[in-house]
Amino acid sequence: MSTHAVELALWTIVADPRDGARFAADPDAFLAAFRLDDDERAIVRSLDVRRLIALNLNSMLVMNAYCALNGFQNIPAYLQMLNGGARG
Amino acid sequence: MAELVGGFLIPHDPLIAVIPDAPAPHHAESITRGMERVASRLRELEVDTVITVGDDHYGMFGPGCIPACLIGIGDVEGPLEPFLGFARAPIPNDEALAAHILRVGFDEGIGWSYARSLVVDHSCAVPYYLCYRQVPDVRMIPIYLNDGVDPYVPVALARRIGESIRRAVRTHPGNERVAVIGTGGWSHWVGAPEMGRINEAFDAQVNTMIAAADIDALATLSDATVLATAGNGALEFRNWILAMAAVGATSGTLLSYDAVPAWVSGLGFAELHAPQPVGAGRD
Repeated sequence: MSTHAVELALWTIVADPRDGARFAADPDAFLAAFRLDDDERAIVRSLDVRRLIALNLNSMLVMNAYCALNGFQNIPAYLQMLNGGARG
Repeated sequence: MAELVGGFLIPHDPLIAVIPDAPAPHHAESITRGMERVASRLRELEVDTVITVGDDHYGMFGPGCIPACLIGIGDVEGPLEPFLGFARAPIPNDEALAAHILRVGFDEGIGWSYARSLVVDHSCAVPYYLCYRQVPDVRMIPIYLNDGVDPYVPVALARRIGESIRRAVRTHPGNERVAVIGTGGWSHWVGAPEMGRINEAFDAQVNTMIAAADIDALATLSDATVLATAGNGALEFRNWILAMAAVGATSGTLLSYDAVPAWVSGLGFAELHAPQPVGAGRD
């Protein structure tokens, strides 16, 4: 798996709130614009932060994407997802 | 000629602005005092241009282009992030000095990227809104090092950029009184599973290096070691190296240090000292 296309998709979500809204409204249509394989598309679509970090993606970018879609105030929930419920 | 009159290291943690009441009161008060103390020193030194060394957090620059080092030479505004709670507004830049730093850097082989229009993230905006704005008519030149996306800006390059800025300020035909401020946190993890952890032993080691303005010692910190023991956020020590090199610092005074779990970082303030009036030496 190449992380570059995944990072580009995540960064696009982060960079412009309108793109974040497009992703939230129709993830498949949004992700069709990126060269992602099926696994990559599934990971980004679900915003599975544990898998994204496990894939060695940039953790700042993963957090930014999560916050772009869920709000910066939800970092505790992000950490809870990331650590499998061990903390929050 | 313009004159370098001071240097500082200060935090840029966005959580200071976003959840100001989250930490224990003595920690929050310490950070507020630190911002006020640096602002007070900037006023005492009659600083009118602050060169601020920040770093993108993979929000400004995307996979299509990640500058190793960038200077804003034109319009500046911020912050990028609405969640900080500051209304995005223009930030006065010192365009003439910024352009001179860029040209001197090019002449010296620095591979600057530059921006004619730049929206700064929290690494420049938090210091501006919480500290510099207390200084009348101050202008800010934003500089961004890539501390966040591997491969990171080489530490040796950060030092060379600082030295180049030092020469550029001294040869600038203006009358600015200039301070260089490195921003960032001590140990902290951003977006990583360890986020919230603080390595106070590492931070104490760094504080010793800051007190001695020991760039050589800071430069020996390998990225692998820093990532493993102090977190991806601690790679911001490059910003301090640049500031120290620009000032020609030979010592530093640690004004305060707080380990603040609620703000997920070790946070400190330091003033950098040169052996004589910073602008009066020779290179």
